[in-house]
Amino acid sequence: MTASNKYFCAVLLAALASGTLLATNAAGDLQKQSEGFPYSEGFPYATMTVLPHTESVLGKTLIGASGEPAGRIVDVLADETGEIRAALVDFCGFLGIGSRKIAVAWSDLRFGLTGNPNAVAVSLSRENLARAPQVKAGEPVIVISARRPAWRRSARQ
Amino acid sequence: MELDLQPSQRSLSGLDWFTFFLGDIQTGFGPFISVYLVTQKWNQTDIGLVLSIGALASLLSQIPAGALIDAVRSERSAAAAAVLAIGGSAFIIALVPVFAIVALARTLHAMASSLLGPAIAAISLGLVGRSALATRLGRNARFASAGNGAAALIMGAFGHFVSAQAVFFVTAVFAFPALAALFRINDNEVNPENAHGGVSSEQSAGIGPGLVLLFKKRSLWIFLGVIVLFQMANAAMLPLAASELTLNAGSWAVALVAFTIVLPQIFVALFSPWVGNLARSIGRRPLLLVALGVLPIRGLLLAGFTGSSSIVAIQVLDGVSASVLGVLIPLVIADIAYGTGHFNLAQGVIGMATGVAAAISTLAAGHVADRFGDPAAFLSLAGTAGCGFLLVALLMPETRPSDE
Repeated sequence: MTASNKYFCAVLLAALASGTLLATNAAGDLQKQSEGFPYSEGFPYATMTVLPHTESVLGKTLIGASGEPAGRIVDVLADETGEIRAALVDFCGFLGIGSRKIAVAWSDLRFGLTGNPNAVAVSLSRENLARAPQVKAGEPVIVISARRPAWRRSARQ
Repeated sequence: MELDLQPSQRSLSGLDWFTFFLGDIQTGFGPFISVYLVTQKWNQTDIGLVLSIGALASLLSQIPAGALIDAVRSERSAAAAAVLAIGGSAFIIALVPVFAIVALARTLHAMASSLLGPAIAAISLGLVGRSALATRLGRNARFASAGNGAAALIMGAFGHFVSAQAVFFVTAVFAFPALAALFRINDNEVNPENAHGGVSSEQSAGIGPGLVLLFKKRSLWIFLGVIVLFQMANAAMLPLAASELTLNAGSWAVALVAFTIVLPQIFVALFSPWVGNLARSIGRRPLLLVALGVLPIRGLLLAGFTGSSSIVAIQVLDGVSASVLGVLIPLVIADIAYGTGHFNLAQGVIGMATGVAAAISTLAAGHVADRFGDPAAFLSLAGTAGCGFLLVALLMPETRPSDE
């Protein structure tokens, strides 16, 4: 099973579970559900999913660890498998002067924490965000994250 | 040689406030367009495309806009149409953020902006005449930079506390005081012949013959070279310095970047009337030497000092060259082009060259900074500025008319 497949199934499972429509069935056979799903009856789709709460990502303000705005999400970056890896952030200057594009790990973004529906929080401070390598066209993107990579976490245990 | 011009106080103060409010509507939404379009869920490719369309329209419309100002009989009506076009395009972009509409509105905005630069200088020349032009341009520069500074603060506040969209509505609203000030200027006091740069003895109507007539003048070629070298050295310096600030200054970065932009404007507002008077008393050449001489020093200092406070302090030098050239660029063009009837076409030529040079500057300096680091970029900008200084010192003639 490829990573994108895994991701897709995970989203589907989570969505079905949170929709409570098939909560009893959530751990069951995906194949069976997609055939018998009530919403897709009369539609030419194998599956239709209810997402009770979604948020548009583009244009959201990034809030740094100290609680002040540090930039704006202008794009979402996926790797070659289609998995979303990072948010491209326009780190703020003044009137467009002095701004730079940086990539923040997708898993670092915390939605719905700040009380502002148009904001996303990260646990990196503004100062540390400012030191992130700049994202440039035609060069490999360097993604920053406040969390240790999995291999280093397991090595410590 | 020229008629006795007696502009009324009402017209003169109208021109003061027109230049002030133009600062608001001209700088207005430019810096906010990409932020606003991102909040409207535009992708980076479309935003880049719209920005490029606007930049291209701005470059290509400079020369036709100058020719148009030379051709119209009422500079005031041309300026009013341009202000309405800018206000309207801001309003449309705020209401209908759809690609085709925004691209059209941005093109309209660029063309109207290209009209306003020459239009203000033309109204000034037509109103006060050649002999008082230096003083008048000094005053214009003061009100324009006060307007720009006020615009940066107002638009910055609206962008930060309300929304990027609000900035567009504010820009549109500022068209009304600009028009009110413009219509205080009595159209009958603006002498159209003067505004176009006198009457030519040769037949030279239209862009082509006008350009031929202008480029017969050696001093225009040299001045063009000076301005191109200045822009190639100058345009990338502030953005480069500002990106160093955001890298090093932490949470104070935004305030410091704002300060590096506003500080030169304050300098211009304070000193440009003085520059206008100096241009009459000591001539143009010494002032051009100062403006071009300060720029290599600024480049060298920025290459050597990377601390936040020193970067901000060095920006005072930006204020020196900005306050000199804000007055001297239209003034020297008037010196050179007077008697051709193509003053505004000449302004369009310089305007287009300025735009191309600024684009080359940011591209080239960005490349050098990526490859060899920021100090190398500042050094190469300083070197370019040094060439400009040498060009003024060795070849630029004094253009002050003998009767001034």
